[in-house]
Amino acid sequence: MSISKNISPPKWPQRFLHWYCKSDLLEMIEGDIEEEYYQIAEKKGALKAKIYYLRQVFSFLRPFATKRFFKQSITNMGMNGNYIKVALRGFKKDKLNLSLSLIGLIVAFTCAMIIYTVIDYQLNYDKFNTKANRIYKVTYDETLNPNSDRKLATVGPPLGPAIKTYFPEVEDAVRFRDTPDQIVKYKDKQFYEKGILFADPSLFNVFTYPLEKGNASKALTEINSIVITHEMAIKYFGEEDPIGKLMDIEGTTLQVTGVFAPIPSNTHLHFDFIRPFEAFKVPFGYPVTLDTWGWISFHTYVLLRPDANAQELESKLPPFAKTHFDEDRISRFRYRLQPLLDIYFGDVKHDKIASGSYNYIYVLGSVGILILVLAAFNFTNISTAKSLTRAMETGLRKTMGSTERALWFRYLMEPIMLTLFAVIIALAITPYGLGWIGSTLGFEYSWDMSLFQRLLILFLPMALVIGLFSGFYPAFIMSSFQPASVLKGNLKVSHKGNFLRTTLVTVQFGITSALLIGSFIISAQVNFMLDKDLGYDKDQIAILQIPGETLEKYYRPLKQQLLQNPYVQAVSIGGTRMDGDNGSGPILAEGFDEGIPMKITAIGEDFLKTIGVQMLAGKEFSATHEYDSADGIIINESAAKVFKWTPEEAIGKKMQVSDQREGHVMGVVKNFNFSSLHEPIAPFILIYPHTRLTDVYIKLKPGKVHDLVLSIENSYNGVIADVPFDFMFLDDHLQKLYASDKQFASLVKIFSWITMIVAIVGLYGLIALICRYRMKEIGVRKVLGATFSSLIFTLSKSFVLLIIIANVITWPMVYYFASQWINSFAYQVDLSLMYFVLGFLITIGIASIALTVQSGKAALVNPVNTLRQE
Amino acid sequence: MKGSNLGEFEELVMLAIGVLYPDAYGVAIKDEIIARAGRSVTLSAVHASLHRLEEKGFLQSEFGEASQKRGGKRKKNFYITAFGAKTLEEVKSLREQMWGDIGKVALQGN
Repeated sequence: MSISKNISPPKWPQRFLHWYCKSDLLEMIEGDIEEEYYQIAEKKGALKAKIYYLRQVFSFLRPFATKRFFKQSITNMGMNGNYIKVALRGFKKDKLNLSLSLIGLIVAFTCAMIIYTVIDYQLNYDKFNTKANRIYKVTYDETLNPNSDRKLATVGPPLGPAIKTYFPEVEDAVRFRDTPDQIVKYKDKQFYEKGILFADPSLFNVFTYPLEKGNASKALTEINSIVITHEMAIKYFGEEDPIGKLMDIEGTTLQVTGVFAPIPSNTHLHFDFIRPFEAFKVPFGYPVTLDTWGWISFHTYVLLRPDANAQELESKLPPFAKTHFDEDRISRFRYRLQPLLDIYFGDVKHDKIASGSYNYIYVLGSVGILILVLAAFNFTNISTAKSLTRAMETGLRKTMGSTERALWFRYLMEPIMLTLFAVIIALAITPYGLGWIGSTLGFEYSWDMSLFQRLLILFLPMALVIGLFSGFYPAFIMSSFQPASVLKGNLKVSHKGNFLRTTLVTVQFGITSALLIGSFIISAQVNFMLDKDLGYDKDQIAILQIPGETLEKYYRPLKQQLLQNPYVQAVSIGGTRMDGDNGSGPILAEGFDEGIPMKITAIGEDFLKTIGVQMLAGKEFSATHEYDSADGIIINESAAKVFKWTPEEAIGKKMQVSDQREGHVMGVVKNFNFSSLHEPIAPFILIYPHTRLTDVYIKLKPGKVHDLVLSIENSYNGVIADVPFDFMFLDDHLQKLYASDKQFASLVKIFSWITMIVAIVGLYGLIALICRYRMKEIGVRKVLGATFSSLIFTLSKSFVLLIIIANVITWPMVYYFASQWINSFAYQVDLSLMYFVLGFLITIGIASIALTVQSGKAALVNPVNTLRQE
Repeated sequence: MKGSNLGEFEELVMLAIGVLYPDAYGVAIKDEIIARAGRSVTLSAVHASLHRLEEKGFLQSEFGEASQKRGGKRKKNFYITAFGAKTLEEVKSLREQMWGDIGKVALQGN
C-alpha cells in the first residue's frame, strides 16, 4: 500500500497530540490513530479522515494519556488542586463579574455565529451543484458599443444547441425560457404561478437537481410532461403521489413526470415548474422564430468538459457568432461566459434572478468582527482588573514554592475555560437565535450538521485565542511579581495595567459609537429609499392580474363595471409594475444615426393620469383619439434629455422603437421611478399596447381595506367568472424590491444595539471592580468632606473622557466608510452630523447611567466600614 | 480489594486480547469488539482500559514491528498475564455458578 504525501495527517492536531501525550504512550497511540486515518482516507477521502483524526486527538485528552504538566514537589503539593478551588471560590465571591463577562462573551459569540451563518449562506450560492465550477452562463455584452452599457443575462434560442455541436469542449448546454404568470389547475385547486420555466432535458445533466420521484432521463422527453418542485407537489397534491396526475396550465393538459427533491434556497435560479423546451411556442404577435439569433430572451448555461479552458472558449465565441449575425451587429456585442458561482454577485442582472451584494456582506462581516473584538476587550479588561486584586494571593503562592509555569497555567486556564464554556453555550443558542431572526426578518436558514461543524472549527480556536489573549497580560504581570514587595504591600495595585485598560476601553467605546452611528446611517439610507417620492402615487393604486387572452376579451366591460364601484377612481392597463422588469431595445430618433438602447413598455389609455404623473408636453394615449395613439410614442424627461430636446421640441419628432413601432412623439412625461431606487431614472419609452397586457391598474379612493377588496372582487366576478381574482397593492409589490435592504438594515440595527449592551455591561463590571479597590480612597475623600456628586464625578470623569476621545477618533473613519457605502446607491441620503451626535449621545448617556449606578453604590458606603481595618 | 475487579468493558477487552493472540494491539482490539459486540467503541476508550488493566497487572505489553501503514510507528501488542488469566477464569466460573443456580421460571420475564 502506498501512501501519497497529500494525505499525511493534519499538522496542528498532530502537534497538539505530541504536546500533551505522555511520551511512553505516544508511539502506540499515534500509530493506532494513523493506521485508522489512512484506512479512512483511502475509503472515504481525505477530508473525512482529517475530521476523524482531529476527533481522535481530542478524545485521547484523558488523564491516563496526558503528561503531568506540574511536577509534584513537596513544597507545592496540593497547590494544583487548590487552584481550582480558589478559582471556584473567586467565581462565587464575584458572581456579578463572572456573569457579566460570561454573558458578554456568550452574546458576542452568538451574534458572530449568526452573522457567520448569514454570510456563509450568501457566499455559497449555487455551490450545491456538484459540477458548479464547470458551469457557465452565456451572456450578451454590449459594452463594446459606446452607445450601450447593456449586459444581458440571456442570448438567442439557437445558441444552446449550436454551441454544443460546434465546440467539442462543451459537454452540454441547457436553455431556459421564462413565462409570464399563468394559472395552474389541478382538480379544484387553482393558483397563479410565477415560476413556470421551459428547459431542455439536459437540465438534469448540467445542474444537480435530483428527482425524488420519477426518472430524470425520461422526465422531459414528452412534450406534455411537467416536472414540479417538492413544494408544489405538496401544494397541489398533498399526500397523493403526483406522478402521472394531470395538471392544466391555461388550457393545456400536462402530465406530471417528476418531482424535484427539495432544492437549497441559496440558488440564483428559482422555479416551481419545468416544462420541456420543446413545448415552448413563440408567443402570438412576436416577429421571431426559435432560429432567430437576435431574440435575446433565453437563459443559456453550458457545462464544459473538465479539461476545457473557459477563457479560451470565450475567445473563440466572436468568430462563432460571425456565422450567425451580420457584420454590423457583430461589432457591437460579445458573448461572454459567466461562471455559475459568480452569477449571484455578478453585474449581469435579470429580473428573475436574485442577486446579492458584497456591500452588505462586508458591512455585516465587519459588524461581526467588531462585536467579537469588543467582547474580547471587555473580557480582557475584567480579567486584568480582577487579577490585580489577587496580587497578595500570588505573592503567597510564590513564597510557598509555586513555579512560574504553574502561575502562567493558572492565569491562562481560567479565561480559557470561560471562553470555551461561552462558545459551547453560544453554539447551543445560535439555532434559536437564527430561527428568531429568520422569522422576524423573513429568511430561511437550515441548521445542519455541516454548518455546526464549520462553526465549531471556526469558533473553538477563536475562543482559545480570546482566552489566551485575555489571560496573557495578567499572567505576565503576576508571574513577574517580586513576592517580597507584594507581601510587604509595596505594589501600587491600581496603577498596574492602567495603560492597557485605558486603551481597551477607548477602543471599546470607539467600536460602540461606530456601530451605532453606522446603523443609524444605514437605516436612514434604507428608509430614505422606502419613503422617497417616486414621482407617482403609489399608495392608492392596486393591480389586478388577468391572463392576456381573458383581459383582451373582457377589458372594456370590466373597466365599466369597475368605474361604477364606489371605491374606484380610475382604471387603466399597463405593461410595467414599476419594478424595473421592462423590455428594452434600440431607439432610433430623427436626427440621430445610431439607435440608442432604452427601456420600453406598453401602456393603455389614461395610464399616466391613473397613476398620477404629469405630462410636461403633449398628450397621453386616450380612447377618444385612438388613431393618434396607435402610432404615438410617449417619452420621459430622461429620454428627451438624451436626444437633447426640450419637452416642447420633442413633440412630433419621428422615432423608430426597436423593430416594433414607428411613429411620432406625442407626449413627454415627467420623470417617475419605474424601477427600483437602486438605479437612477433611465430613459423610458412608452407605446400603445401591441401585445397582450396582463395588469389592470386601479386608482382607489380611500376606504377600509377589507371592504374595498371585497367590493372590487364583487365587481370583478360580475364580469369574469372563470379566472381567479388576483389583486395586489402596488405598494406591497414595490416593498419586495427593497426586501433585502430592509433585512440587512434590521440585522445591522439589531447587532449594533446588542454590541452597545455588551459594551455597557462590560463598563459596568469594570467600574464595579475599580470602585472596589478605590474603596479606601473614597472613604478618605468622604471623611474629608467630599459630596456624593463630587465623588461620582471623580469616579466617572476618566471614563467620560475616554468615550469622548474614542468618538473623536472614530468619527472620521465612520464618515469615510459610510460615504463609500452610500455612494453605491443611486439616491443618497445626506450624511448629516446628527447621526454622529446621536450615536455619541446615546453611548455617553447609557454609559453615564451605568457609571452613576456603580459609583453611586460605592459613594454611599459608610467610610467607617472601609477605613477601620488596616 | 479495589484493584482486582473486572468491569464489563474491561472483560470484553481482555477477551478480545485472548482471541487475537498474539497480535492484539489497539486498533485490532477495537475492531474485534465492534465486530463481535456490534457496539460503537472509540479507540481512546480501548486505550484507557488497556492502560488501567496493565496497571492492575492483568496485562503486559511489548512493542511489535513498525509498519508503513501506521506512518512508521511500532504497534504495541498486549498479552494476558497469569494473574489476568486467573481473574478472567474466576469471573467466568462465578457467572457459570450463578447461571446454574437460576431457576427456569425466573427467566421467563414476568
